[in-house]
Amino acid sequence: MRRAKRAKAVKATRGKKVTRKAKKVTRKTKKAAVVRKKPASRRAGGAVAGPAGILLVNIIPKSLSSETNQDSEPMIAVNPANTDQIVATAFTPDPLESGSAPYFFSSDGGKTWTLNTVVPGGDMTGDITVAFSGTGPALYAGILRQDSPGQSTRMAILRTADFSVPAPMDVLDDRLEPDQPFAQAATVTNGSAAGTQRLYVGSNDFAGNGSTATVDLALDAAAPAPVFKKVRLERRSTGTAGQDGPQVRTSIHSDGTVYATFYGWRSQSGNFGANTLKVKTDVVVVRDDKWGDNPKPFESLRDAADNVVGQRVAKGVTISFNRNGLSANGQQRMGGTLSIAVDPRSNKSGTVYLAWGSDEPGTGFSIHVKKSTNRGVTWSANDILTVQRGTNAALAVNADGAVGLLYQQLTGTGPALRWETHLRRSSNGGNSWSDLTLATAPASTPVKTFDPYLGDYDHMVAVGRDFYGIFSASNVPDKAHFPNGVTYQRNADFNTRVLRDVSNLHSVVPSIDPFFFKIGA
Amino acid sequence: MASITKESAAFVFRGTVKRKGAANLKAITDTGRTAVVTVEEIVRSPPAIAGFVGQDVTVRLADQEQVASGEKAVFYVTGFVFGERLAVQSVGHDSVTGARPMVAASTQAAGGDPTRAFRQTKARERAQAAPVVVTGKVVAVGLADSETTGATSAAITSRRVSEHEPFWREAVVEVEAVHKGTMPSQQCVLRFPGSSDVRWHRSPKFQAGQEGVFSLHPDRVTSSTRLGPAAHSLAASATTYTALSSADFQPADHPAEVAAAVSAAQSTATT
Repeated sequence: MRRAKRAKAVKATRGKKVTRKAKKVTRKTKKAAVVRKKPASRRAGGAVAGPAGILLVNIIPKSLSSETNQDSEPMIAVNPANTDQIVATAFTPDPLESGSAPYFFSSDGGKTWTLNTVVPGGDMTGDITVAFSGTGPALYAGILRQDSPGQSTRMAILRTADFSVPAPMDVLDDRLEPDQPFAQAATVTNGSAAGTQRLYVGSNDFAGNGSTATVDLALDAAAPAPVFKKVRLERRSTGTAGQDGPQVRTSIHSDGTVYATFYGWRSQSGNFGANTLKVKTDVVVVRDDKWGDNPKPFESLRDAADNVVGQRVAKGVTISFNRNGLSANGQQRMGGTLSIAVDPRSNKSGTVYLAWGSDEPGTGFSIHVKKSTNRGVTWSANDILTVQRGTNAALAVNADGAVGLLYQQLTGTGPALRWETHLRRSSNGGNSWSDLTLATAPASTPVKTFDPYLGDYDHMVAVGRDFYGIFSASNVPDKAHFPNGVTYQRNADFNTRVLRDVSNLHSVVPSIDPFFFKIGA
Repeated sequence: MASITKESAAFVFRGTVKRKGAANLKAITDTGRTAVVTVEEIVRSPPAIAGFVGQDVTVRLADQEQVASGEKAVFYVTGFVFGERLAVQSVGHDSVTGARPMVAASTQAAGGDPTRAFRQTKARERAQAAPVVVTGKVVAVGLADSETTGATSAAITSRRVSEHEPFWREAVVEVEAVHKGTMPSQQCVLRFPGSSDVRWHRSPKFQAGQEGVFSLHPDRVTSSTRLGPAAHSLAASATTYTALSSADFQPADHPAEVAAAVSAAQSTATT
């Protein structure tokens, strides 16, 4: 009753006319996008112009111009049925401490954003990821609640029928022990199950008795009380590590192929408390060919070397697993990075890209990208892309089969350390890559208020030919930080490089904000 | 989640109803129960929204709540929609005359700073909720037993590795006064997370020498079963506590917040 009342009370504008117009403009200008770069200049309202086809927006709303929170670890979901509808998350507290946490949403393709305080479990989430159902405004989320009764993590899986309604999300599952929930969803488009919504939530579930990499899947997630099946992905010994890594990522193809990847930890050395922990790990990919709708989900891919479920794409990789971010690492705590993306085109579910992080001599840490064209059985012998000193990898493949990699890279040394956020794209399967710098800012300011500084992940998706992504970065309004332009909703003066409070009278100290981008094909 | 009342509302302001049945941000299209109100004075506010004096906000009225255009009132609100402008959810309003004693008392206690009034409200809430409230001083800080290498090295090496690990510490608090509950000895042990992870960063990180008011809860959070080295002089059976909210500790150099916590503790203490 309360939900219905509130739903009636508030309804976000849809802006369909605006979208059609915008799409026309994009089509017109896309060919010229590369050469028609306009000089960066200040516009009223906190915007720095960039090339056509690139939209980059600081999503903190104008009414929160006074906030100074560290809004790190962002995630994004775009409704494939209406790309005007976008939801984003970060470590953002409810400014008025109502007892629920917020997410950001846009109903105009990411141009403007509003905060919706509807996530149960405390004023702020521990971790949060979101996914649209695939066909409508229904939104799913996997969160870590702040109101865990003990020191264990407490995961909740949530759902709302309409992301724009300011009513509390429904709790579908709520239990102790899982960490870093990663939600992805899709709607079956053909066959007897057409119209059914499917939800996959990866997590590192410490209830897994050593084999902690887990996917909770619901084959009818829209049901009044969805049934979740808990699938332990790890089939090898985790040795002295006794667990897997926190990152469990999935990628779904419309033909029912679902990939998942995780760090299969094998041993550890050093001391976590002393911030010296090193982990030896495999990078493992598993696959299901029927949406997980079989008695033994995610057993479709076996490693030829040991005939065990899960292809080891990389073996014996070393990663640092930090307790705290170090200044030498730009304040960012390191602990690996993982992303997987399947080619969405028909008959292309066998083409899949994988990115993972590892420690490397000399450079400290790197991202590696490999590709498989035979459903994960074999992988490119060498990296199709390597990013030195890169982390927060996020892969996506668009409707043309072009692959994109979003990442954050530490450049420079000492006081000149910077965090750069890049989007690399390849339209030839990874043979060559373009490079777009979305942001570049000093890594020492603002000073972190907690870990993780930028987040343990960022995210990117592709819908149609467009890439939509989100990352967290310094919010200093300096046009040199955004070489391809940016728009701020919050009050900011790009001439003086100063943030302004909601009254526009007082300066506001810099902090970390989430930045949304949409990049045309 | 506790229901929000006028007393606990995070945002309290005096304003004039500019337009009834109206809203000033695009996300709100149904204006049947909303009003645009000009903020004239903020009585209580978290820092992030303390700058709205002189601005119009949309107020969604509570069930049965009525206002008239031109009406001046003190509104008690919580968050609703944060967009290009601010919309808030009312939990009630009072006439300016009726609210005058509350506004005067709050303004005086907070020195006219609405963000300090907000902190006092939080201190009051935490002291009301805590079974034990004391004034004291941190005399020692150390690792919790679960973190010490000598006593539990096997546990340390076999435990989970999570970015959300709390890394428990212990503070020994010398108790100077008990405002609520019972404290059987002059010292007590307070466990707190040393972690800087997002899950724990808002919990107070205690250091030796800190003085103030502590709102204490018996420790039902940590897995420590024995006292750590900083608390070695205490009886092994000493009750251990936690203080995990940022408002669970009010430092002595914030006298108004200290007074709010002590007053709330005493008013809710059972005799």
